Amino acid sequence: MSKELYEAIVSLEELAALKCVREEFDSGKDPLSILEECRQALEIVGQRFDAGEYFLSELILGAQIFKEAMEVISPALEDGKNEGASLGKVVIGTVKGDIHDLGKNLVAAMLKAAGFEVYDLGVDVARERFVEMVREVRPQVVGMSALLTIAFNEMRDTVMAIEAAGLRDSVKIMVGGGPVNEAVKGYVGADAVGRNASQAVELVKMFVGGK
Amino acid sequence: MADVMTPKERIEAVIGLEQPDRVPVAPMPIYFNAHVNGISSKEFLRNMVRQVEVTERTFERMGGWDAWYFAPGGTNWKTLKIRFPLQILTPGDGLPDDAPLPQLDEKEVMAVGDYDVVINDGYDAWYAAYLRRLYPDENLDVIFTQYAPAASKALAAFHRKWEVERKVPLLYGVSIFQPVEIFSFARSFYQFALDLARRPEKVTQACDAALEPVLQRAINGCKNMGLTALWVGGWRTGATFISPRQFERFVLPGLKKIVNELVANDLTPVLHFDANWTPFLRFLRELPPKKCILATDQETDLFEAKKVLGDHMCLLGNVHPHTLALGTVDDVVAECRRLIDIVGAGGGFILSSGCEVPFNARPENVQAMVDTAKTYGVYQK
Repeated sequence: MSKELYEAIVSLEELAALKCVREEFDSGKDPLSILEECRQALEIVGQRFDAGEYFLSELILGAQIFKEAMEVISPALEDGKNEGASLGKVVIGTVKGDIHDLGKNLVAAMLKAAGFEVYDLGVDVARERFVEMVREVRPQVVGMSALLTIAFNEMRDTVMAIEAAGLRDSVKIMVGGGPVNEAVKGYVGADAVGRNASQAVELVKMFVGGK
Repeated sequence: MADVMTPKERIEAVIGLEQPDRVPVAPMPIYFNAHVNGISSKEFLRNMVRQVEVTERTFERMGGWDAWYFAPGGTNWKTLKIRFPLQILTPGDGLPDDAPLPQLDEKEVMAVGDYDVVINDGYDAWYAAYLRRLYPDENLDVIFTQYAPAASKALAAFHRKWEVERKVPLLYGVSIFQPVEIFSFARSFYQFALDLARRPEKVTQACDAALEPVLQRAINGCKNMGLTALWVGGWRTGATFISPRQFERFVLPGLKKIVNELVANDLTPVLHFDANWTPFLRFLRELPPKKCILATDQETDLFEAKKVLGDHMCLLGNVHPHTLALGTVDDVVAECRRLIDIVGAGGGFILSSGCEVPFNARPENVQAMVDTAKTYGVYQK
């Protein structure tokens, strides 16, 4: 473990972190091992965010540093092992009627960084599209996001559509977004609510580990 | 107990942190007004006569409230385009005809190099060019020369009718977007977050260059319409988005200048601060005492705000949108009573919805909020 790289990412020093990644990469270090170091450091950034020590702008910077580090090492990773072994699959999207994606994108980025395969359906996603993707990729987890209260019904209808397709027992459904709380989780029939991107990653880990 | 003060007297009392006859109430229904009166949001945004009519009808049906936290007449599908520094989609114009709400489409439209344009060429020149980039197919001149003046005229008339004649003040009409907010929208928040780390000096210089033009336009707008209060928006500068260190460096100096200048012009800054401001409440003690209203949504802990700012500024808020949309009347009454008991203790409080009353709020819930202020909110002598 390179203490320098780890420290640079954890303290959000973008230039220093990328310099370390390049140096390690050029010295012939196993790219998967560099990837793992970056992942562990970003996890600490996520934990600090969750603890209220870091704020959203800083979590974004952490995710960006990770992304840039991956750009350095990814050419050397073998095909199919681009981001190491997949820990599990997640289908994610902002539900129909809502086009907000800041939180959803960050959840997707943090999940990818944590080693999950993420199928990001984008924004304004129809319930049929969620059902289709669940059927096609068989994810362990579906994540639905919304900022607008008017989207609560769409979240509920999407859960019902997944159920009507006979797929509800095969997935855990988590919801998140500005006004989404425990009560909304109950209203829409989801399994969990994630307050932020870091918590969403923990939820997915728990769901996948519990299978 | 019958009301003994006018709504205007009540609002003035709480701004000065005095205890009025009862807790004032000022919800913010916007598209809810269209929904409960059976018109589409599309019509609400295109027919200004109807917008005023249905909004006033909601007010009358609910027995009235103490201030217009949303005032109708000026918010239409065209003026929204020059009011927000990012692309707005409205029903029938970017969104389906039956869409219940406009939505903001956040994209990176402002380039990194634009900071230099603001610094070198001035904010007004940059913003005019930026709007053209944002809406390449829109005839912006028509909006500026026809829609915007008509909107100002309508708001001025609404102000005269309600604040001057009926003594129900307007807390709405002009909004200041702090420069730092403008750039965070225009760059998209993701890129802006990186700018704060990568080019802090540029961000600061551009904010400084934009401050005076933004401020003067808002002050002139208020004077032209006769408004006595205006919004100072805090959408992206709260703790949901940035750190306390970033707030102190990039936001607080400009916010203080804006608020001080508004107060010097006898205007009441309504700090319309969405998302979580709880960790930043202490900074707001640096703003002038007894002059501002801090209006928060449900994400800010208003009980904590009472502890930190209760002797410094009036608080407004913050019944959860979820309670209004999905809760029962009993849920609403319980939440309002708790706010009245704690945040309303001794005055300095206006009961309201946390930001906008949801489009799909239950009308009986909104009524319960208004009624609870008028009955349970009476101060004992």
